[in-house]
Amino acid sequence: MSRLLEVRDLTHSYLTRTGEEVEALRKVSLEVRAGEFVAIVGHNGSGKSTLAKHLNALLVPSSGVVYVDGLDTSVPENLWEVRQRVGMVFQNPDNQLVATTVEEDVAFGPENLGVPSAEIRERVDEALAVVEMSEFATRPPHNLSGGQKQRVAIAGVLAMRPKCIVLDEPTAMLDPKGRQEVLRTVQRLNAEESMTVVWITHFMNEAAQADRVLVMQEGRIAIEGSPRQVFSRVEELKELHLDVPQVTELAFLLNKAGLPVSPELLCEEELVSILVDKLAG
Amino acid sequence: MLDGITLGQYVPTESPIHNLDPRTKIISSVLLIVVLFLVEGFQGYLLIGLGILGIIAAARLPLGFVLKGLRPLRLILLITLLLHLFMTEGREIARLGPLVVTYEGFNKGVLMTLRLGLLVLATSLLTLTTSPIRLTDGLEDLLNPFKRVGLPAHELAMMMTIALRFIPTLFEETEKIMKAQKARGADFESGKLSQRAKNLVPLLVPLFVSAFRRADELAIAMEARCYRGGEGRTKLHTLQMTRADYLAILLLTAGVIVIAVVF
Amino acid sequence: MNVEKAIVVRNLSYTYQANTPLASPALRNVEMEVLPGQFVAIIGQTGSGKSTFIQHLNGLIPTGPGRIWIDGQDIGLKGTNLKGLRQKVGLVFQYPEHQVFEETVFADIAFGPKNQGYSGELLVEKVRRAMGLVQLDYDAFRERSPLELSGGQLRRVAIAGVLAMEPSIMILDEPTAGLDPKTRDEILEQIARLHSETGMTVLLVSHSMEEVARLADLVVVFHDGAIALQGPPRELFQRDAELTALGLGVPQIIRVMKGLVNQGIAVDTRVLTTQEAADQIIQRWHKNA
Repeated sequence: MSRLLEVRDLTHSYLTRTGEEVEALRKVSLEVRAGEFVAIVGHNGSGKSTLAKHLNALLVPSSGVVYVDGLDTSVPENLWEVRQRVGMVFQNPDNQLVATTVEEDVAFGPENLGVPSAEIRERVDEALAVVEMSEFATRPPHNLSGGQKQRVAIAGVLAMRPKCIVLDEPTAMLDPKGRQEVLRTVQRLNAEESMTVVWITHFMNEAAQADRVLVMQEGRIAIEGSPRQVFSRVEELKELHLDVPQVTELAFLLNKAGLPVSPELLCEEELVSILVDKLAG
Repeated sequence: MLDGITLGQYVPTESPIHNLDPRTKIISSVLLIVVLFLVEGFQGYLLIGLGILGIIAAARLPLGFVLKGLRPLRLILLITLLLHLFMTEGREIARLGPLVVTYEGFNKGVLMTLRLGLLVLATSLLTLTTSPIRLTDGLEDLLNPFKRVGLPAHELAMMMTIALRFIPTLFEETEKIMKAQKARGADFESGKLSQRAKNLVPLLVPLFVSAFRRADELAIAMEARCYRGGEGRTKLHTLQMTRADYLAILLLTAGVIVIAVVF
Repeated sequence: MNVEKAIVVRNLSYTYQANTPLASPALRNVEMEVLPGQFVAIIGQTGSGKSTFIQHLNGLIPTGPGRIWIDGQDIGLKGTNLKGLRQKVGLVFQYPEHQVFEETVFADIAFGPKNQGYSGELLVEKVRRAMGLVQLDYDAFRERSPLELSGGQLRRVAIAGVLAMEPSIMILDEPTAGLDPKTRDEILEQIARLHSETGMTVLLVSHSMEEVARLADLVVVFHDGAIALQGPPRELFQRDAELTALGLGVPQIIRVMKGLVNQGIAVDTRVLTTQEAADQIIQRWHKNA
């Protein structure tokens, strides 16, 4: 599988209002291969959103390099190419939608790319179908729920035919139902359309669906691995103030008390079967 | 309630007028406005009025509904009538105490009121039969040639679209902020004018701050979708002039010239 | 009527845009009683009516069909002093940081008490006390501009702004919305401390029962404009089938415990925290061994 995104020794520093220099990212390196679903978790200030913005050249490195599909993001000439290949969905559902109807908004991206009118129509219809919002095509955006708005935003990105979608805390402002809607939509995109996904969140349970999880802290990648591997490091995660799913935490506590249960478990049913085995005997 | 804020309340019906290209309708509105200012006689206004009624019928809009659009203006219309009635020099035909009603005043009053009313009707016809998107598309297209002299036609149209998109959202936000401040004892209703203006600060400041934040985030989102101004942009909905459009413009132009010249 | 209860609601209904073709019912015959000092969690999905409900309690929405008594006073009566009511019933909306408007933290927190007529030393006292209740150091923060603060700090300023009016009933609408787990836990801890230190009656609206499990005395579940379930958290969590049917999540540990019972392992399923569940299981394990 090809390396779609490549980040090497990325450092990002900026000056605060009071003039002090802050390093939001410190020599971060990572790779994302085509078709992967990568989750980046961390609490506010860990650098995860800053990292996300480097992936589509909204920010350029203070030092280090970021390659998108082979293109160096710091080269100004590459800017629009990079942004067509890596689409981004942001946290606030409202502040991404610019048009007065859903389909006009989804068309915004392709319009900017100069795609011919008839093809725009096709892309819009396709994108809306993928996110299951086709029936809302002519409706104004302000009446939609948060989850629906985010799905429209995703469609807007899809219509540009990117190679990768980066979602920067897409569910932070949504209710549980909306969060599920968006997660499910993106999971389907990854599973059925092989869309490369980078999902940034502070909800650990969302990261459980990824192929790979990166945990960030103070501008660095603190833990990396498959969800099972990462979730098993309960104490470290708790120290980083991240929510561990109750099942994992339970397994961890049982283990500490002497009941041998692997804390890698992620699923309720699995834990129940194992416990039944150990307790029924 | 919020939908009442849309420009002149677009009424989505199927009609030959609705289907006309927005540019046709914009040009027609301009022509109507021009002729309303050129004409001076009663018969002229009568004919124009009949013409407008005809368009309303063709647009399948209920007459009562359209005329209701004049309601917010009834005060202005009344003042116009009264001003001209009492303030014009000429042959006296009646007297109410110190106020003199003249024949010329009566004439002028009725004519001016008619002109105002017809102006409003003509422009509301435009907004009643054209959706805001189509309207901005049409305006953008018509203003395009002026880009050469520095008019940012695309940017203006984009700003209008974004403004229209956010009006209901901002409305809701205003309501929310008002409630939050009322929960802290703010009073937006009582007090004299100067006091009430000051009382608006807790409403306006958060609204503005939020608007700035929105604008910032929106700009970033737009750039992330490769927005870089109007150069090389295509559109989902393209405007196409049909025979009906050319016919409509021809008819209207002919009618306008005739009325202007004859009356 | 009932002077010993803090809030009594009888037969409360509300329809948005009533008598128009756009009418939509938001509340249907809601009945509720809250004792002084209770910590009540109001849970429900978006659109269940919980936001509409709380706006009735401080008179932002006038009492339509139905009646509401706050501290024994019928607030639906004509001539009810709304300002007085809003001092007694403090309401913190979602994303309250959006309502902060003054140039300094002090000025913004002082807005509420100022509207009540306080000034000078008394005003300072109120602000100081409120800031203390949300753990914002008075001297460190009072002159700072709200624009400099972090999300969590700003939210605390907004909450302090309502606390400064010294309400006896405090209503918070999703106070943890949009916060990361760390900040969320901090805010919840603050609210818990607030409740225990001042003895205020607290109503906390949330989507998540897990969040409020340890804090609430009573959980009220709204669904479709009416109260579907209510009870202490420990008992309510046991009604997992009903909760799932209402589209509300049941904590994983409850499901695990119930799963164990279903397979013949005798454990007490009435747990609230992971630690309690672990303790139960370990106990059972030792017993079997």
